[in-house]
Amino acid sequence: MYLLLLIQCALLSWYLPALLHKRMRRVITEYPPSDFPLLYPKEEHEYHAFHAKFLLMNRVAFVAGMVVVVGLMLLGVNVMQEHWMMLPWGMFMVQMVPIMIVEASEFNHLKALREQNKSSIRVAGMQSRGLKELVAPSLFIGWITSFLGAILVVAWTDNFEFAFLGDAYSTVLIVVIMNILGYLYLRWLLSGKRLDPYQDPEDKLRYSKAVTKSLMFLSIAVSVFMAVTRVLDVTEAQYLQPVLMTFYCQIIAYGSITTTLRGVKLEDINFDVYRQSHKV
Amino acid sequence: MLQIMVDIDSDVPLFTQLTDQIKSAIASDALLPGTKLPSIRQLANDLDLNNKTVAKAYRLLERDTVIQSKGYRGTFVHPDAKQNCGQDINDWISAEVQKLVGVLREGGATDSEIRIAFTNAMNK
Repeated sequence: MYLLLLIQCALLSWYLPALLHKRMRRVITEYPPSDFPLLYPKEEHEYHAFHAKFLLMNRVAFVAGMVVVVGLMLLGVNVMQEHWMMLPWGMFMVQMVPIMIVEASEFNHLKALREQNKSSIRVAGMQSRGLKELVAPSLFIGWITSFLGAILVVAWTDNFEFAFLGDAYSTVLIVVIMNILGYLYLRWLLSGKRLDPYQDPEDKLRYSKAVTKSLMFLSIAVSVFMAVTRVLDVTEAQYLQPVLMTFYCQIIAYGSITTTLRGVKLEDINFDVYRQSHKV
Repeated sequence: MLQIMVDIDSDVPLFTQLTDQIKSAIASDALLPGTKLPSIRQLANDLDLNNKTVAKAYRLLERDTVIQSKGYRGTFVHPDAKQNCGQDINDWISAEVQKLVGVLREGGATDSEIRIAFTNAMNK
């Protein structure tokens, strides 16, 4: 279990942030403000400072995580008990803070792009961006199957009784709410307000595909996790909950970040739209 | 991917810019019959336009049998879109009105009487 927690530290506070940081540095190096001014509404030094802060936050989280895990190990604490399930989750929440800050800053960045854009020309692609067009049928079927399967498994653990506000009831409610929220967020992302006013429609489509895949993957993970948690509960294997939780945290972080990064490669993005001289 | 472009500062109404470009794309086979079009909401948000503007463009294209709406399944390019793209309903309206005005004048109606009759008919 300690090994898994150390791996969680390394994955979520070192490896994945390093991938993100590398990408951010590549963008500003290969597509600098001097040649692509429309991409950088703020001063260049602010972006460099932000990248450095992001790296530092992750390094601090990494060290703090290692200290906690090694400390518990040295104290001989047995973390293979149900109430220690919140340890990997708590670590995960802290490890996700820098990434959430990056996500929030991305929204601010896009808002700044929209405020900066004074062009009267608007461009859109004439390709429908519905779920059917964006995901493979197998992934869609996997999503539906995991959702319904999780509900069935949870119902089975309660002998299909579903006592109101009982454990099984609450678990199913969580699965349903998480999937609905995921679906609504996806709908907003796919056909909601245009966030980047310069983005090439082909890039928008590619980004939509990557994010849809990532969100579907997350939804499947939530459904499976909730079902397995419930099974562990009723089979009195609660000591495995911390193991399940750390696996879950690592899988969702690795899966969602790498799916998006692989789906939207820098080489495929049309950065010419951010040149000052770019005419549609 | 076919891209559509509008200029919000142009004198040409936005819905006309949309209908003209879609018809032009169909006429040049850039959009083929049966192709699914973006939803009104998606296109309006991508172009940062009001939903009503795009809805009006789609309504006019459907009236001209260039596109067809299939409810929740979406909006598609009509199978006969290519031959209908070249037709302009306004030309047809002008031609019919000219014919009618000609008939009325031959029957002895004055231009004022014809104008009053048209206005009353439009007000009904």
